Amino acid sequence: MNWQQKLNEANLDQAQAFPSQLAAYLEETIRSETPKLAVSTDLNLGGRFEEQWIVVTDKSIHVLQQPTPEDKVRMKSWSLAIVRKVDVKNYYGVGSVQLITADGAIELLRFTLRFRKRFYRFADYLQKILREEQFNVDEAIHQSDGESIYGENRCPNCGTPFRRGTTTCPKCSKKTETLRRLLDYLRPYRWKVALMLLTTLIYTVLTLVPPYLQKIMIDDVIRKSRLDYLKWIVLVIFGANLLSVLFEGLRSYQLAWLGQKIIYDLRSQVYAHLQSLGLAYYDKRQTGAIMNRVTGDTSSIQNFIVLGIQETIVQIFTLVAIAVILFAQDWQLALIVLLPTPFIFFGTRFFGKRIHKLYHRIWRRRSNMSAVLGGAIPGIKVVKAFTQEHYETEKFQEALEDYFHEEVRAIKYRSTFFPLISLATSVGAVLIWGYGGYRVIAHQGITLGTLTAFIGYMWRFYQPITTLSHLNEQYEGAITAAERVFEILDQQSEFRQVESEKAVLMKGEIVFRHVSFYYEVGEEVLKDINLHIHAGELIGLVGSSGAGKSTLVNLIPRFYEATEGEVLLDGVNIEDMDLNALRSNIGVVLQEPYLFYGTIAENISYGRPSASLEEIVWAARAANAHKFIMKFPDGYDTLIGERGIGLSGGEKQRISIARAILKNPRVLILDEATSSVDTETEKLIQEAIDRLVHNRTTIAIAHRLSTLKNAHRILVLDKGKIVEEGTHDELMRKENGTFRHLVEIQAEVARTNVI
Amino acid sequence: MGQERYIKSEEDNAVMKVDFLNPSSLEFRLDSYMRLNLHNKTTKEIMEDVDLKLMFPLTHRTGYLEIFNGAEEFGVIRDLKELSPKSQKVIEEVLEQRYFVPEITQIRKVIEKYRLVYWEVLTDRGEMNFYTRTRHDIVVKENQVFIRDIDSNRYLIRDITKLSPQDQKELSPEI
Repeated sequence: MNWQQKLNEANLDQAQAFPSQLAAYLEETIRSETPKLAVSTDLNLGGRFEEQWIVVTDKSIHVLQQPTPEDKVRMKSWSLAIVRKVDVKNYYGVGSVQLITADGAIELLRFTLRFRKRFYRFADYLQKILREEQFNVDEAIHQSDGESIYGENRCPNCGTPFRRGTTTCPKCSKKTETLRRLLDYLRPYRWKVALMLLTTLIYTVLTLVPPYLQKIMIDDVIRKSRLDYLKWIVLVIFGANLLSVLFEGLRSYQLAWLGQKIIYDLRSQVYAHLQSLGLAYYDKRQTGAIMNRVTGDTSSIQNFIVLGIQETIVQIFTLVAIAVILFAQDWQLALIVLLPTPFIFFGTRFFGKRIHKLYHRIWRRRSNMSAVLGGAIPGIKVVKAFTQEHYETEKFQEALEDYFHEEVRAIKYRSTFFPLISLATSVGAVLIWGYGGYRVIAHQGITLGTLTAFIGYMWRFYQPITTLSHLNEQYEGAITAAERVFEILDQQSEFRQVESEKAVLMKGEIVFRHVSFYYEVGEEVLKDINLHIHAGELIGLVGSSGAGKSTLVNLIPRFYEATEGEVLLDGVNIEDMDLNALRSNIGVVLQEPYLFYGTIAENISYGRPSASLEEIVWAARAANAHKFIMKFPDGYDTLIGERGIGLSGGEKQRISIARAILKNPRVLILDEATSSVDTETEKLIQEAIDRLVHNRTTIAIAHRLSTLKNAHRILVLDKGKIVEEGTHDELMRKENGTFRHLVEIQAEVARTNVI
Repeated sequence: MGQERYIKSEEDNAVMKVDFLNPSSLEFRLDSYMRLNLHNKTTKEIMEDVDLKLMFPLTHRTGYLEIFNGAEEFGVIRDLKELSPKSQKVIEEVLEQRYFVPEITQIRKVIEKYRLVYWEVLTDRGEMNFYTRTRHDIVVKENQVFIRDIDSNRYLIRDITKLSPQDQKELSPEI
């Protein structure tokens, strides 16, 4: 294997070939070494954009600069023997890799944030080389989402940015593939599609009949004064129109049915898949954007596969049919009709591109306008309180003015273009009238009827041309919408699923073994957590915000998976358990309870729809919710959620506790369940919680530390690590202890609030 | 600012007041591990491995620099010019390493590609191309434009009016 091949194999970015000139230089200068790792960066140490290559061999690290025409290759090298550690620094718009030696730090390279993940991976592999551990460069690429060296916005295979809102690589994916996948949705209805196409073609043919009948009417009936033919021809014209109307109705019905059926299939599939995706998917995306994919994008797809494809077939058919009719009637006149065609086709395309840019600008101005509105109207109280009405009005006025100017530009554009197209088609008509009229009068092979039919067909001929010239944009739009929808469908369902038939009732013993977790590479939220919670134990979890408390509890129901280490429930790794079985044993009460639209009873029985009325009331009583529920005239049948009655934070919380009580889980997670309510309500909730936690393994994250007095053990978390552990009293006895310090601060705050 | 009379106690005052440091007593040095150490010339104390953060990294890069001792705020340097030339050089070097916002001087191309906006520009750090995702990635403030690309790199156009008319035209659909 030559050096070029060796370096290509060692290259972290397999989409980019190692420069041949540098490979030749290395072969010449460091022949005795073996390349292990190579990578390029886009920034030099002077802070200028420049491609540089870093090559790690079995002996040293080399940084190479690409030669300019008048310069030769420049290389800096360090022996691996001096390197103790590799550090990656992540700064503002820039990152840096440093080699830590016994004498100090060496800044090896800098990179823009485009290469952030790449250099975390590089540092990881370099450490492995230092420790003489094995690694596989291939693993750096072809990895899904967050793990790829190109980052999550780019294709894991080649680094090209994904099309907006999709995870489809514009380079690696074929558009025809997306189209094929789209057309697959028509497959179950192929006979219906065939019937619809047949109906459409018959309808199109029928619309082409009347001009021909006009020709017969003029030439063979009127001009020859054949009264006996008149009633027949009138009947045929009526019949053609009647059939045309009938087929149009049939076609519209079939179109609408098929459209609705496809959108039904697509939406059910997308929604069911969305329900199966893990929380990490939702963390990275806006709820509005996801909802738009289920509603808006599926509609665009429906439009295209039903209307777009059918329309294209109809237009092409019409175009060919009319061209055949025209040429069959008179080829000279037909050529005249064709004259304005290139102008219409290319003019429309040109106009489309120009107006697209203009519309983009209009869209931006409109968004600016909406942004002003969206800020000021919901915040009108603040605007008035700070007497900024005048400022807001001026701001809106400015945005409005910008928008107005852009719209006027577009109007000017449209008002110039469309008359020009009309002019081009009228030129065709004028020429036909002139030349055709002359030939009718001079008896040169065509009749008045033929000319009239010709004119009729001519107008219909131009319509498909303008439609077809826009086809590409329509197609692009639909393909992108499809890619956005397929992005959802292509997401792996929540983690690895283990199927198990029976629901298992667990004891509730939880063990964390060397558990670490990060949402973003390089930003560890939990660091090597080791923890043993006995069945039935009540654990209090405290720490400042961002310490990792919620992350830790989220690992138990597998809302997220540990990046390293394992979580065991009753001695079984939760990753080897059936997800439904696992979650059916865990109850969660969140700080901000979420209630669905429906009755109070439905909300309480959400986790156990089969619960009896008695059980629902029992759970509500246990949660101290019964009394307030009974104050509503509709009792447990009271509608809540959107459009229903409003509940206070404390009331919502008690309903969510009732929900958890009814589920009767072995493991209970309370994530700051009492932090957003007043003291009196807190007492009621605390009572409810005390009933709920009895005999269950409970992990309670508490903001108010006084609520943890009954906890068997309290864990104090700081920067992702457990820093203190013990009972309330034990921790309070600790001089300079974190828990004691937190309790003292809270006591002081409470005192100050009284004053 | 006339706010002082509403302040309850000296203690509150200390919390609220921006703690501007006296630069004449401070000396910043980089050690061999590229750690920033702060020497107090008056007390002869040395604070090792201090961290620094610009309060206004886009709009004001020559001052309002907050110094941290671990997680604790130590104080604020109002203007880098107040530091000794030697310290100023050290801080500028560190800021240069940690805050990278290339200034766009020419716009070669701004087009729609993959439903993103693709930019080819010349900056004071050389030629670059990048993608932006939505209009929220481009913030216009008077004549300044701040751009954040899909990888979270930042770019700045200091003054749109200084760009050539052709460049301004190229930029106009995006702002």
